[in-house]
Amino acid sequence: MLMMKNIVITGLGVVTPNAIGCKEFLKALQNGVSGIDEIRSFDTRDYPVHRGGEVKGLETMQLGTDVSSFGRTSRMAVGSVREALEDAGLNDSNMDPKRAGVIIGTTSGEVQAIEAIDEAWATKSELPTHLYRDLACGIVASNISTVFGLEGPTIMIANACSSGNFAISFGCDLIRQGHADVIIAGGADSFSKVALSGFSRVHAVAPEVCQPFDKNRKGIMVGEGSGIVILEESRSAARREAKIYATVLGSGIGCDAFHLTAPDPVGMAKVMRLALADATLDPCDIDYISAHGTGTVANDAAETAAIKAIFKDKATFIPVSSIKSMIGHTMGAASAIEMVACCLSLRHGFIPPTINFQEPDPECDLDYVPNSARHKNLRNVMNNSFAFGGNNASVILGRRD
Amino acid sequence: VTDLDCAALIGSKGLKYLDRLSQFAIAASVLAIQDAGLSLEQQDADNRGIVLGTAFGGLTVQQEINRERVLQGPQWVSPMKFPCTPINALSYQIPIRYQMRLANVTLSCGMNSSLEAFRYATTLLRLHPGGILLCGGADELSFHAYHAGYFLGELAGGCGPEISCPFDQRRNGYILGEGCALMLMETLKEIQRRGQDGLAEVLGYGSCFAPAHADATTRISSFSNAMRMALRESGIEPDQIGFIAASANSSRESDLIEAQAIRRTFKESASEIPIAAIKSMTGEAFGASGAFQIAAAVLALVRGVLPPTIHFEQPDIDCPVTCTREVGKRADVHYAMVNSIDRYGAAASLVLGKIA
Repeated sequence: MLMMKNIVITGLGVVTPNAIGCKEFLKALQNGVSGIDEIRSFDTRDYPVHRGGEVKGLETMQLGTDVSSFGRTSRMAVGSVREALEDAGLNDSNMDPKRAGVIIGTTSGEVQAIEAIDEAWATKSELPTHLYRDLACGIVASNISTVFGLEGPTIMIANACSSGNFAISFGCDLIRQGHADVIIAGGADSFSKVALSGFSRVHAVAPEVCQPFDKNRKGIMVGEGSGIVILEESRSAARREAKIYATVLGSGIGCDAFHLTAPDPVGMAKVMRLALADATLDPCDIDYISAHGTGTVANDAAETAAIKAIFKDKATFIPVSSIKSMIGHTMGAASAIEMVACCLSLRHGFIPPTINFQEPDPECDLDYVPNSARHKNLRNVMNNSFAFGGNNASVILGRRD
Repeated sequence: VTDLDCAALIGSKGLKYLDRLSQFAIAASVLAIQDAGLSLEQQDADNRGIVLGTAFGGLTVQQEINRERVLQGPQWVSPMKFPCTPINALSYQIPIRYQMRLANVTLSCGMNSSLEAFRYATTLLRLHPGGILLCGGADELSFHAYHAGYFLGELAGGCGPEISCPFDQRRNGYILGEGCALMLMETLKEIQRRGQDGLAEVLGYGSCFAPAHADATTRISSFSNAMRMALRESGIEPDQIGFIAASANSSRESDLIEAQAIRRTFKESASEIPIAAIKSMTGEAFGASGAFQIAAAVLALVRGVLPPTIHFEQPDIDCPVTCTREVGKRADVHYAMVNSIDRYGAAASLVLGKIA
């Protein structure tokens, strides 16, 4: 049965287009640093767009293990997990491997391996047979459990762009029903040519910059990265005097059952309402909303409408921002990276900005924290994520006082 | 799967935009809902959901997009196919068709995907006791799955006969299968409130991880721990299990690990429990395999008939298990166990019981 346990976040790890590691990520968020640049890992000559959010300097990250056989998604994830475990102060001496597990959200797993295989197949070249190990995305969580010697649940959630929130929410449930004591939860995805070509084919990729909620927003920026949080039961975290970033107060999940790709404000509002109910909070208790805010015309208008439907006349007083303006859309990693950002915001008392914001849109009339970060003491924050198939998830974090 | 007439089940409208894997999933959803004799419309849309397991998911559609991208150029990829490239795309149409707003969640844990979907669904129902969920798994026999099996040296026929013969001396790899199995899940209370009988009850779950390259002893003890966790959560003793739907897929190593893990968990009674490895008939269907086994276990509980393990002719002394051989073997089963082990090392076990 599910026990009413409080689940807290005790460690963080990130790899994003604008930072490797939390220290750098915090600085980037506070200074509104963009990680969007010309795409360098492949030739974009045949693409209509040439910019994106690639992770730079991954090879410099201390992984502490031989990852030469791992795909890019696994490398980013392993790096983030290592950082998060160190941050949480967890190691062989205080973590029982039998009671520790991992749950990672992803859209496409080791997508670069799949693309390399498909490219060889399409051009009738020699198949890169060593990459077939990476075909099923289960390899990512399995690599993590292998590297860190975890013996507990080893799970991948594939819920496209809301995967990270689904993984974190289910990670809490696994602890509540006694399937583990420590869960490493988050999301990871690599830069995908499928995403770049597909989104640009439907005119959903911005040519220069990602401008969530701006009147002239032109679409997403394809990105990559990984975000990891360490989940533990609050009492056991307190017993070992762990640093506590936040308590996971509640989550709401749902499906629009409406359209493959078009966002539905009703479905978006529903998960926010469910998350508030699960957290037993009123809308006025929320101090900041970390928006899904992809930068597409449809998403940002629908999300704004959904926020207004839930927060009513309070909506204009709640800061809402999208860090996708800085790092682009990191797909399955997005809501997990945003969760890390929320934890940093709670701990350091600030709100990350929505950069590239120039002209307000009458349809998007909330406080989007334009262009510069804001100092603010935060109690409770909401993290939204919406995905293809109308799969939505919203998670609320609170500061522990 | 060669004789699926999806049009007969859902009509031909929109069918040409549905990839093969999505057709499996939607066909299974229609059959499951028909079998339950349930008109879903009577349930609140906010209470209806779907939880699926798949190992490869939208890989075939992704391959088509990649082909278009490479041969015709990135500006010419199909805008209709692109939304179906994520791993979970196979489930997108089902909630729209049946207005399921509770959740649409996909777990992708290789061969364990279905069992993990059942854990997720069980958890979701505990949190949301009024819910009704379609739960199961799907995968298709694709170029990708075939090439992966071939290049990783996992397919039968490389060094021995090309047959699926789990636990048999001649085993030398799996034969690929495909398909989808879905079941409707609700809380017992909710079914009884409607005055209906359920088919079987989900009692307990266990999972453990040991790296695929670890030594056999470590992997055996890990798999055995998963079985014990499932038994403990179910609150039953090992000797109460009357049937095991095995994971064994005719692979040299993982069949042995499972057989030894069963031996370790059930001790002397291991040789008395009938065990069926249905992958002898279905092949290895990855994300669908676990759901096939769960369906077989449910039928054993409900109808008292056990599936055979075909091609089980030359027992291996290192796999000390008693496989069902004859067709239509009858047994009064009260508790059944479903096992699963993934190629990367995760093992899972699920215990089902008859509804008293």
